[in-house]
Amino acid sequence: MPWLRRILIAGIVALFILPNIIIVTASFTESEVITFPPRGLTLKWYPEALTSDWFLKGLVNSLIAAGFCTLLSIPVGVFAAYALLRMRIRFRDIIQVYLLLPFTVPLIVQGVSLLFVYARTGLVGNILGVGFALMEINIPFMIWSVTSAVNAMDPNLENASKSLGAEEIQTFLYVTLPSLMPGVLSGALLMFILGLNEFITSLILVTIDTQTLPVALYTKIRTTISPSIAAASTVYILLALVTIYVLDKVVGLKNYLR
Amino acid sequence: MGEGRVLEVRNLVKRYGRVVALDNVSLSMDKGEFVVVLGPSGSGKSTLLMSIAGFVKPDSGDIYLNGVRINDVPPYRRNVGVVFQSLALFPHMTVYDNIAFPLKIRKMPKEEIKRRVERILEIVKLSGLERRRIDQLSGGQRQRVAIARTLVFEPSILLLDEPLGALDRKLREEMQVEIRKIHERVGATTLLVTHDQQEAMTMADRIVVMRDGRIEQVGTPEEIYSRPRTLFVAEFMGTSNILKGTSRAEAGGTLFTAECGLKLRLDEEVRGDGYVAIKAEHIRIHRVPEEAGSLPATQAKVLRRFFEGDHIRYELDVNGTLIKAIDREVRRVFKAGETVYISCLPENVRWLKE
Repeated sequence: MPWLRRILIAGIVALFILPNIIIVTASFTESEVITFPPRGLTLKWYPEALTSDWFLKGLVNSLIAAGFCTLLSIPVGVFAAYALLRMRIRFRDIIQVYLLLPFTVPLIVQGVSLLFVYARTGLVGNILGVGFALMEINIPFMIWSVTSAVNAMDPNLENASKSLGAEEIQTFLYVTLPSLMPGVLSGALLMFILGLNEFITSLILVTIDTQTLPVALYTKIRTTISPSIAAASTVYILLALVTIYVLDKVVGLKNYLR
Repeated sequence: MGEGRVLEVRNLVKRYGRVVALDNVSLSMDKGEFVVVLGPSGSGKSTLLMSIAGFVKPDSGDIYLNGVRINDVPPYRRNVGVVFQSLALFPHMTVYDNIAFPLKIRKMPKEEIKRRVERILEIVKLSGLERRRIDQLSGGQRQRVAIARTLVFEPSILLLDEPLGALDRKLREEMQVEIRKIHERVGATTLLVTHDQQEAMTMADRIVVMRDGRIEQVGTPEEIYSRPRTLFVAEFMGTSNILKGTSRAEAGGTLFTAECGLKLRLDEEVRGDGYVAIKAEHIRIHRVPEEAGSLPATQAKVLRRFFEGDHIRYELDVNGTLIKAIDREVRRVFKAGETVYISCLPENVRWLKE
């Protein structure tokens, strides 16, 4: 029944995209509060949002935190995934379950425990501390991604490299790592986007100076319902889309997100 | 150790738990030789190859390469070339980079690398495909890249682990000839492992038949095919007639009586129960028993007859047992249902050890 299928698809699309469309549309309103449907048509909220201190600071903080988290997650994820699959490690199964189940510890708890640690070590108020937290909570996605790349790799690839004269480290650098690269890249992409969007743990860890964009938006919406929030949200959505688009152009996601 | 001796494997033993993968295996190879290790899966042939390559550590025994004991030498210092069944080409490199890899690792100058890669590409007939990615190549081309990559650094020995297993029959046969040709051009000492007896026959100077971690028989393809020494080798090489029976001493020598009643003279002095192998072309068919001369002739019935050009293939029945025969005398024809007598010259009856 094609009409039923069409209705279902339309329903799903509406469910997922409609709220986003509403917020995007609302950003064009001329009224002083968020209104839907918009009253009048203006772009004035965009310059206001984009030049406002809270937005710029949040954006920069988010980019730094997500970027740091991504950089950190690459070595951690590669070594963890490779070691779990290829080396003999005690308590491997338990470690594996812990590392591969995301959010085994509730995010709020994770945030509170990190806050204690940061308070002791003076990391509260340091944006890199937020980046580290993002890495810690999202690392399963990186490990998943690299693990599937390790599994997809012909185990004889490394043996071939050795028989051709490459020592262990050369083999890892020239053969193993490049073969895992697709998995590392798609993992890095996931880490970046998740890092850019993370809210709960960040909310607990940030100070007024290290507010990330989601936290800044949340804080803003508590005090005003200015359409500039809708404008900022629209920019935020665009940012995520652009990230995916750029990475798709660079690494060809279709090949890797399998 | 002889001067031209490249490989010497002595009393190699490898156990995996209770499974004995290699049971006291000894093997030697001379320079330029093409040896095929033939055996079913689980016979230990791949374990032998991987021990020589350095990826399997034997429990005991020694491996010498050019007179040097290499048991404790890591794979990357053995100078052994391996072509894996999966080929293990590096997917992130071009054809050129794959083949140049062992030379780059050896820090050879760029021009020298270029010269060598071009030369080897010519030998394996892949010139012009340097810039291709691996996934842009056909199965046969990938095969050639894998061989070129292992030959380019001039290894002491070339090891091939079922390299043609993944190809379809036609391509496989082409590559068998191709590998033989490359071998003739380069003269590399080559050890190939396979479960395909036809492949072994086509390619080998010498065949080593393995079974349950032990070497069953070593010989030229002709020897292995014509004179199998054990029941296993006879069955594996597809000998047409394998008969169970008893042999005992008799006035003229040894007489073997098969369970089906077929009587045969043996030229070996063996006694007791056992098996004999007779190739179809060695079964002689007679109209009357007297044609067999002094040899015992056993009555048989012609079941089916197949005319195949320069010979006729018969299926004969001896008391319920099927005997296959090939008769090159095509002007004399036996009809289906006809009663005949069969015999075999003693030198063509092979007594098999179990």
